[in-house]
Amino acid sequence: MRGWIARRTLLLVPTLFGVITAVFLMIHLIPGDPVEIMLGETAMAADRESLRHELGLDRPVTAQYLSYLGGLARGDIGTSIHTHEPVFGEILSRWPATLELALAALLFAILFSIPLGVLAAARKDTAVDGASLMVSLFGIAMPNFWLGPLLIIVFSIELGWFPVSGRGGLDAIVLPAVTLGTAMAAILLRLTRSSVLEVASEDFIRTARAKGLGETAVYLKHALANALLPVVTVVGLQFGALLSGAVITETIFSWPGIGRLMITSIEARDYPMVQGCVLTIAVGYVLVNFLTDVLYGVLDPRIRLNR
Amino acid sequence: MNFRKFLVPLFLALFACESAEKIPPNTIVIGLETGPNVLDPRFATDAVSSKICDIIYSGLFRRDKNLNLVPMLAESVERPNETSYIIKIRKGVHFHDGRELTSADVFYTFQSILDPATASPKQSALSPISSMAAPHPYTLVIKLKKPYAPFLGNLTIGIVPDGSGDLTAHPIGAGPFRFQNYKRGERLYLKRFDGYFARPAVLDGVIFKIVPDETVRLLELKKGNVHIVSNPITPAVLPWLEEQKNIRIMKKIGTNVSYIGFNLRDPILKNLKVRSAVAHAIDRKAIAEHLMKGLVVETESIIAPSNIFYNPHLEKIVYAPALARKLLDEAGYPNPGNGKPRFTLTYKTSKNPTRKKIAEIFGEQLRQIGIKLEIKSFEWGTFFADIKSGNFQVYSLTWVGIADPDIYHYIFHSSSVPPNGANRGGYSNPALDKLLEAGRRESSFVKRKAIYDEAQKIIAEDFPYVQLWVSVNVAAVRANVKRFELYPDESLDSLVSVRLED
Repeated sequence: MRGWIARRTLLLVPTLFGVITAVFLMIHLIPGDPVEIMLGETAMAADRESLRHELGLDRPVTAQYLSYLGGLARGDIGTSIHTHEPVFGEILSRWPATLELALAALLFAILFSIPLGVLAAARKDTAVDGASLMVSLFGIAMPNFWLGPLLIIVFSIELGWFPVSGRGGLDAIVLPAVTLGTAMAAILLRLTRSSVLEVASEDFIRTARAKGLGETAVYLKHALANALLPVVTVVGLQFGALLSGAVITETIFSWPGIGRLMITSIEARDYPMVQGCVLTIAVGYVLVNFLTDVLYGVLDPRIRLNR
Repeated sequence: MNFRKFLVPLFLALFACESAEKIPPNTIVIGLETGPNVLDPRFATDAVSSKICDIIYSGLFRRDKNLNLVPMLAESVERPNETSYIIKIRKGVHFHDGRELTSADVFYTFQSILDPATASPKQSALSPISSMAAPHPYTLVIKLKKPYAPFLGNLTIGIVPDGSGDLTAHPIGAGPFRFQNYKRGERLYLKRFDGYFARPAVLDGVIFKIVPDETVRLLELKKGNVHIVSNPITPAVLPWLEEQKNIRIMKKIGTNVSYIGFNLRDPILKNLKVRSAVAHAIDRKAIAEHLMKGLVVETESIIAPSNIFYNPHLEKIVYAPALARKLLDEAGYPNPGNGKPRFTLTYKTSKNPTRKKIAEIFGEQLRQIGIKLEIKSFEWGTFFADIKSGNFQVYSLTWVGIADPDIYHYIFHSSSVPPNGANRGGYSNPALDKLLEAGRRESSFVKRKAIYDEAQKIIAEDFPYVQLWVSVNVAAVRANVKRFELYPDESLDSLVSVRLED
């Protein structure tokens, strides 16, 4: 297991290098000049030139790329063009908000979808099953930018249960977490249902029933445990998507996370900040997938033994 | 499974740390789309940073409600000759840390802006200076390289304490509000500065709450968590806002002037009759009223109507499609019939939804006189890069925050073709050039005004631009906020006198 983890970790290096290079090229190739955006229309040519020089943007792109890599090697991911503050500190201050939101969304998705999925499987082709199908279709079809304001209007403005926007306090996270987690909950609900149904037709379930176990015990103890593997895979993949996909939810709920930081940085062509954000999101994505692989081993001893 | 063992404490640790932040008493909350990038007046270029710096720092001068230059830290200005200024600094002005503000601080502020190592984007504003001296704690002497009439207008930059590095993390100024804390992406908290040299603010503090989504910003306002939401407000939500109880809408003509720009190097567009035809084919009034819901007002000059340099006697461009058709016939572009256009023009604009809608309306209105308008919309960076490099036939843009008419030199003088200036269409008129050079040197207000009245008239007749409209600043304000005023340049100066009622 340790050797396997070491190999996986080494593989991260070329992956991240590729990401860094691709992002660097993309942000520099798309038109738009950070200095222009900063100084606006009325700026004098001399001010533009001196700022461009000060920021090192008058050097060839290759030179900029090499000095960026040099900085990375020293553990320095640069200083924001716009705020004059170190990129690393700014990003570090934003990550907890995004992680908190993504974890809460995940928690909501799991708590909502797995029990309902098992129930739908156990009551296949009944009204309960039909209702769960409706719920999941609704969840998948609902875009965040619509669901978010809708939840705010109902639960914050009309009922006054939760704050409208902003971070802070347990109550503030409920609406953003539900908004972000809904699509994932819908997917997990369908997946849990079909996975449990598949397992339910296997021999050991019949054995469990033959032993005289009640239906609840059969589903919760035997079927669910075995049906979770595909669910965990999807949770892992989707969690990465939650991290990078939190942008819209963060914007709606004024959530000071990494997604919003990235969007404002892209609009401002704040090269070092965009690169820093993408770099950390890529690391996060890769790490989550890595953890998912490890979690397989925990859930299914066969995978561990094969390694 | 053992997940519970670590997951539960993890969640508790994550969520238990913070509780919702309450609004402190007698503190106003202003909803913003984005927060300020920097809080040091030497580096502030975006509108939000500049506006907020203006209430944390004080400058020698500031612009009042009518964009007139009024003294702040400057007590008096003497001009022994055309290129010298002796500025007396007000006594008894203190910075937020208690130190007295003297000419040494002013000297340092200007010196550090002029120092290339500072990389201040405001260097050119002070570049007319040839030398400076602070012979006395309350006296600053400035000498210019050559006479430059608008110079004092450039001395509105906030003064920082002598020896300051980048102050963004811990701003210290001499303005009516002092810095408390700033959580980027969340909120900026300022408190009243009791030692302010003029009458201190009535409020205990101001919170700028960052709410990027417009709908949510307005919902926060409705809920009462935010007291003021100002520009930008999408015209389409105004009817909804007007229905809300406890919210009033304030409007004031602003300084942002939109125009259609022509490329005068283009074989079709170099013809004055064609440009004039386009101007007469566009129904500005209809767009201002129906699409923009009165958030813009037609204007004939890039100088805003609130500005004392505005020429109110310019002839209005009337909507006259028949005249436009006649002008095109005379210009040598007869109607080919069969529904074919006389010619096609390419119009560039940004991805902004309102701008795209306006472009479509222009397209329809020009179709009526036989011009086909091909609309191309680009992401802002790309669009602006094209405009700057002269890669366009027709485009539309907005001049933001023009105060001094010397801007005409930058936009229309024949030497101001990019990269030297913003004469992007390549307009050239020797008579205008002469006027603009004279306006720069002239220090008498009356004579300057006459010069720029004439310059505005020439531009209005020559149509290098079709002047469209001037923005109307709009704010949605909770009813319990008293004495808040909108300024043409969106300044937040009136916060000093704002009162909050229960």
